[in-house]
Amino acid sequence: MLARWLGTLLLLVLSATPSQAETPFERLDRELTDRVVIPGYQRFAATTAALQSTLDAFCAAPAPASLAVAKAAFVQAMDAWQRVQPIGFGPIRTSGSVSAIQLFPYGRDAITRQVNEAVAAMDPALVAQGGLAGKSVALTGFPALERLLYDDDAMPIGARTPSTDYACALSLAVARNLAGIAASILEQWQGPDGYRQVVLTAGDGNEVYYDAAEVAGDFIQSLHAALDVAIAVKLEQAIGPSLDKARPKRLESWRSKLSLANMRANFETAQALYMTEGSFSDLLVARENGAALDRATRERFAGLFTLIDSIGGPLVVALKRPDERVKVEQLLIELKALRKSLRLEIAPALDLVIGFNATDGD
Amino acid sequence: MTARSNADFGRRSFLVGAAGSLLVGFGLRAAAARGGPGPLYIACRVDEDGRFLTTGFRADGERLFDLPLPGRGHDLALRPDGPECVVFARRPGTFAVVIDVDRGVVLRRIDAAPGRHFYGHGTFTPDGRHLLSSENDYGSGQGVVGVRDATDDYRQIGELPAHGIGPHEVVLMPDGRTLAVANGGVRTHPSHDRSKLNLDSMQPSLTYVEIASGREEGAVQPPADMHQLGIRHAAVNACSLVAVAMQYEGSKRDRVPLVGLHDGSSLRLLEAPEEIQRRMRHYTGAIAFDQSGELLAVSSPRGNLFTFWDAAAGRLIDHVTVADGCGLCAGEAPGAFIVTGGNGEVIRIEPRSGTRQSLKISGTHQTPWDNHIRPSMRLDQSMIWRA
Repeated sequence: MLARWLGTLLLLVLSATPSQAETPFERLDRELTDRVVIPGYQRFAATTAALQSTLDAFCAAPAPASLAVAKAAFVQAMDAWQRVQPIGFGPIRTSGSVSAIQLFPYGRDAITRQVNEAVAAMDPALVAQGGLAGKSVALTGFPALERLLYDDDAMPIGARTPSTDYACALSLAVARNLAGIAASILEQWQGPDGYRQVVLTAGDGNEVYYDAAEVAGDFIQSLHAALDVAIAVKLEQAIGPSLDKARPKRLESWRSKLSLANMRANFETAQALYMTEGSFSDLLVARENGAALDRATRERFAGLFTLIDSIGGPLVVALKRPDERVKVEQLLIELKALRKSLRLEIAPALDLVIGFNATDGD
Repeated sequence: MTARSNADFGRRSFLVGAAGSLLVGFGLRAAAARGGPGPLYIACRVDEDGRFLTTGFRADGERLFDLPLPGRGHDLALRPDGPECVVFARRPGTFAVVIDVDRGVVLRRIDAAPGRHFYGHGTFTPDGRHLLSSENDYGSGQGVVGVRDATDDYRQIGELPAHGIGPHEVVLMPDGRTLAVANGGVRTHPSHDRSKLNLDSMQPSLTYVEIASGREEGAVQPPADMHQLGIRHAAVNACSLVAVAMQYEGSKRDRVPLVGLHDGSSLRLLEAPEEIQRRMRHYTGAIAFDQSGELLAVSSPRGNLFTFWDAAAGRLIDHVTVADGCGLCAGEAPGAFIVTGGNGEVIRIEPRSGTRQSLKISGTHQTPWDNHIRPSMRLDQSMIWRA
């Protein structure tokens, strides 16, 4: 009896201690790391590994049917990447691999030109294991792979020639490179002494953070970046001041027509960063007068998805169609409203600052 | 490249130019004493729609111009002999824009040479002839100082070695012939985003470069056990005292000074009381002397904090909390500073008396000011007529 009682007591102490000691920001940091960041990078690693093996099989016997399978694997990997794309801190930042994964935006024709030049040169070293390391970022990531898989002239299926075989080998090399980066980022998060540990021990101060609020600042900054990049880089560059001045080829992923899907994935992560249990939404509700702001924010997120889903056809076409274009313009307005509220209402209510000037080294 | 540029740099013209800019300074002070509108302040910012702008305003709140930039701007250089001002892209940007501050118009765009990007800072020689800009030769990783002829459409005529990696702010010494270069020491490459490639081996320095020859005339480094203390920003007063603001790349557990003074001998490191020092968060974004050259202002945007120092005493005298506050410059009178924040704040501060005066600049409400602000010491044209 006594033993059972002691056992229960011990269990209570063990289960109670962490949550008692945990501050709201420490909880937020832990929940978002374990529910958003790590699952996101796990999926990125898994889908890029799958992309690599799919392309391996495809290049052994290129055929239209297997090209469709390869494209499906590309879509999965891109979706996984777009879901972690807003996360702007940790190993992805210290390794500086964002541009290697996906150079964007890029100069006019930079991808086409560099991929064509590489295929024409047929350098075996480039497509060998590790051959893309340190090479031009126009060749190492998603845009190069997209050019190879989606442009009919880049890798013609049918007549196999040394040139088409090389193009396929290059696509496989890019996939391998992506899988390698993704595996490395994941390991740097969840490995022993990885960034997850850094986040979880920030409360007492460590090598990287002064306190847990600083990590929460990184999370809200990431949430803000998801909106900010969509507005300034993904939409405004392409939409132009008027229909006849739209520049659809400035869209991200215009070849694969994934521009809109990419943004949807970004915003789902932004929403998850906001609404995950214990995160910003819960902290806001706990503040005086925070409930109304939280309700408005949830509605704004829901409105974004409704609006995106109402846009007919791929964005690369929609920008040139008056009826669809107005919805894209409306999306920009809604995104700006949410961005503004985040910076001027939500962050200050939580004693966080969305900094413009606090970036490294300026 | 370096050798070719030498012939263009005559020392005589520098001296004439230095005297000229002093006269403008005196004229401005005289104008201010007569109750004139004070300096024209110029800074980059982003507006509500996310557009990057260079904005000119006066302390009375009048906004004189909002000029669009091709991308995010950083610092700017005022040409001493005319109304021109060159706004530099934030690193690793490759554009700079020349504007006319009297008319509030863009005159031209300057592009970095192939294989180079700007670091966001630059200055003019005292005669206004040559524009000097900190740049990255990212193939080799070496820092360079681009030299352009302002009288020849800003054509690039040469390049000086920065004698270090990651040059950031460059300031002209009062002798008119020496450039002080804040070499942050951190190597970056545009293909690796903004990641730092050499944190273990970084060797920051404050280096003095003879403009005419590109020769290193001296350099000072942080103590060996603080080699991760990157020297990013610098300011100089009339007595050739150079003040530097630093960023620490090491462990957040370390306690390190972030402000230094160099009078030509050794680097004197200044520390605030512990609580304030901690709030600076190992990071500074800008540094400036006031007009007297006795007071220093330093911003710590990560800590949302401005600190003010007595340079001679090496002591903190005041601090002000401003969310994402970074921009700072000398105000219209000795002892005064203007600082800017991330929500449209423009505040005039007199650290000795603890005076703070919030300035409301039309049309900039709640939008972020960028890292740097400069006062134009040009006379308002209407003031000249009144005089």
